[in-house]
Amino acid sequence: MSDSQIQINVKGPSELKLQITISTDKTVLELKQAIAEKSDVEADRQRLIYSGKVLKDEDLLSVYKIQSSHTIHMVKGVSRSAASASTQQAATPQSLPTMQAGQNPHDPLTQINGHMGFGAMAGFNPFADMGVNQNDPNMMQNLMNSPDFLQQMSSVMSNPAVLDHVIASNPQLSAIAPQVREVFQSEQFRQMMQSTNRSNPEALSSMLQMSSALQGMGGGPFSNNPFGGGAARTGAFPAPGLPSTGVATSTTSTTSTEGQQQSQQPPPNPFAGFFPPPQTGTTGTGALPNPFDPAMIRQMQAAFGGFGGGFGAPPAAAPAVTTSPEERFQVQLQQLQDMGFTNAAQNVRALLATAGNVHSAIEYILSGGGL
Amino acid sequence: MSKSSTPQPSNSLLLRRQLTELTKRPVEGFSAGLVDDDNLYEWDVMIIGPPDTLSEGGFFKARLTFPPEYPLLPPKMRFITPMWHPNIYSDGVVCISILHAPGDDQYGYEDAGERWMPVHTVETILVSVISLLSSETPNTDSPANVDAAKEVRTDISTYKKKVRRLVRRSAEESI
Repeated sequence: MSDSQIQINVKGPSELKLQITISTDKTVLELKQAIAEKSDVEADRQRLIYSGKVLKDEDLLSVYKIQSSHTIHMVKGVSRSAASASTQQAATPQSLPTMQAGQNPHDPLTQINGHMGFGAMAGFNPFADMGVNQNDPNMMQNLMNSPDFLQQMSSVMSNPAVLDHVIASNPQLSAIAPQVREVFQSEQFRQMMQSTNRSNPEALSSMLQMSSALQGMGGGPFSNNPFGGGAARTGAFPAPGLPSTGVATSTTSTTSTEGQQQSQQPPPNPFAGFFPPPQTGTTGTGALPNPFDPAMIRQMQAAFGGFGGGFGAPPAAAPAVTTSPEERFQVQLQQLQDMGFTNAAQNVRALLATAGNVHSAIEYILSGGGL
Repeated sequence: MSKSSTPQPSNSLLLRRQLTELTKRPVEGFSAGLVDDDNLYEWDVMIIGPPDTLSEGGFFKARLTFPPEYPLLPPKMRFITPMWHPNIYSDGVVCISILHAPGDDQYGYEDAGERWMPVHTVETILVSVISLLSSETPNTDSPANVDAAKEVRTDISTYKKKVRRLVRRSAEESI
């Protein structure tokens, strides 16, 4: 027990700094209470953030792998009881809403049963016997905009008893029960359910991403995962904000079509740096790898495929360029040399840093980079 | 030149160093860590809504994805928390000049100096994003979210209301 003692630094509001010694088999709530003793922020109002995540009261500290001398952020928020009072009121009287689903015409879940053939719920059991109305694309959105529905949905999702019921009644799901639980209890999933004001393509696009992430980690059993339907649908759906499809097409297309691609491809093409446009004044494109080199395209596809599947195994990805920088940037190096930048080592570093763009390289050198 | 002919080994060192630094001595306003301990190229980020701004009280979750070519090419940043901002696409992808690769001026107005440089770090990126979230009236030139930009120009009070609502929701979800 004593070797699990760690010393955590807490960085609070207005320059508050605390050191807490605590065992990693204590819960987050116990840590908050320890912080409350040393500061004037009651445990209820504390939000602890570490490693990009908000710590949950009921989790053990070991879950977050906090180590000695690491620092966590503490932020003052609204007290938990005040914020969740309204949701609890709504949730408690009907702790198992699935049980009455389909019977009460005012129950939002009954509405689902009637209309929610497409999108999120298709495939998990309480709604499996629903009548399908695929022709009403607004239904989902209306539901997502209804506060009642959202509140109920979120209480259903967070209720383990409901989950157990769902899992038990569906053999496909019970085979992968732990993952299903994780998904349904994940903040992302609930958030997805809750995001009002989002149009369907976006909801579906985030679903697609989740689905591919799941396939990446879960492997086999997820081939018939509950989101499969939603993901398949997105392909046909004119989803404007879908980064994965937009990028995937652009890797195989030529640079000349990039102009059209950009309108539907929000994220900047991270590979564009390899093809400096001719107007930058470099004549060195010949020294650069041929953009149509099949090996190159394969590498790019592999890299992009990685984004969807949780960025699989980056160290295994082959380096995009194998020739030495001196060879690759021969022309640019000569240009820099001619312009009076005589430090060859610095020139190489500058060109590497700027993906071979002479203009940027000069700025880089002048601002003292690469020395 | 000896140290950088292949980016892979040096970039994992670079990322590891930033990670250690940020877990030991985190910067005001955000917290960052790996999504998965075995993958240095995918980071979870939590931005704490800067005090005395529209975003005060918010907890904004985002993902940073580093390309294998990092630091030659910039990481991609995407908010998981729903956002309403002219410089954030509706799918959450952040559009700021320092995250745009050097070399191609696909947006047609950016100086090479404003764009990605290998000297940028997770910290400098996040500081830029936090300042993005802090401004009262965000910049609406070449917006990523055209609707949000239009609302900033024509109906700033509705814009602010919408942002506040998302901030409140992000705070509730953090409990």
